Amino acid sequence: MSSEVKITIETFKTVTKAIAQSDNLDIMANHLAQLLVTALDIKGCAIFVQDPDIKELEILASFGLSPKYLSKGPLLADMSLAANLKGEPVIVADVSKDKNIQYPEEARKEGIAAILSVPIVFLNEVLGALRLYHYETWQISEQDLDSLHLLAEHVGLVMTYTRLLNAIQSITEVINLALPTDLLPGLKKG
Amino acid sequence: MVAPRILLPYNFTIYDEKALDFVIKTFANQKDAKITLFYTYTPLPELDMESPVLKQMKGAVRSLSKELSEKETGLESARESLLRSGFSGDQVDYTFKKRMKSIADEIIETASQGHYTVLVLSRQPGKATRLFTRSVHNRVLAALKNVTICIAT
Repeated sequence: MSSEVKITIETFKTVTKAIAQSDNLDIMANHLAQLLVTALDIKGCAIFVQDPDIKELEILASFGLSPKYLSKGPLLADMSLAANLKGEPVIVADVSKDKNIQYPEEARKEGIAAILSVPIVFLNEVLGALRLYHYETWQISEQDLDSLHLLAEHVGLVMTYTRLLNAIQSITEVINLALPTDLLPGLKKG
Repeated sequence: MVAPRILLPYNFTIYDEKALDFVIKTFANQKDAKITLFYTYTPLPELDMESPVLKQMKGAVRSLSKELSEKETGLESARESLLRSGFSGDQVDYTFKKRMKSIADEIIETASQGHYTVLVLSRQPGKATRLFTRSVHNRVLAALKNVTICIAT
């Protein structure tokens, strides 16, 4: 069990730069997962999007987790680390002693000993969750938790930006189909 | 009639298995059909030489190699499912490549350059992700010409 600071300002700069350099949410989220697993020396990381209607979490990107674990079943936001729904992080320092997780047996089989879930929030709306999976019990430092909160906020901003961009691109495509002239050429590329 | 060249993007979900089943049921009796299972992975990000994370990247490279090895084994299993269902070895292959662009663009490029005549896509029931990432189906449908696109639901 360790609570040393793993996300230094230099690490934070590297991770945020990687986020800013991707123009594709899917690739950005995958890079974020890869870098966090590397920087924190943990087992895996996954980024989820929350369906606002049925409160189910859908996977956007992951690293270090097996396809079998990722397809273990639907992740219901109110059964899986439910405090995220209120915008609060959840720390499961020891999976074997916590009732907050939906699939404890699958986690054990995957070799997961601890989980940290940070909500991805934008303007008080929970958009998803950033989840980190450790192969040993985990006492994360306050500073690392703050850094992850900030990163999750960045992800929320990027998600909101891409949602708006997608909407504009869809409208542009409809307009371009209906009209012979290309009204917004800069937005054509998807 | 032109022999069908089938591209099957595969991402190891139960929905991809449905797409695989569809290919088996539809094309198992066509001895001239060629099938390519297709998977792309996101490479590790490029980092500045001064980045402190760079020193730790060995661990990430190991994790990625392990993950890719598991995925390649998974693709091989999917290929074996096709072989067990009556396809011959020279009818089925797979493409396992680094993703350089969006999934939709990778599929479009591979389908166009490989002159595939049939594209079989799976459909995940989730809808929230589609708010943030553009629909692969819509983009593929808009971009590909002279390709039969089947969506297994």
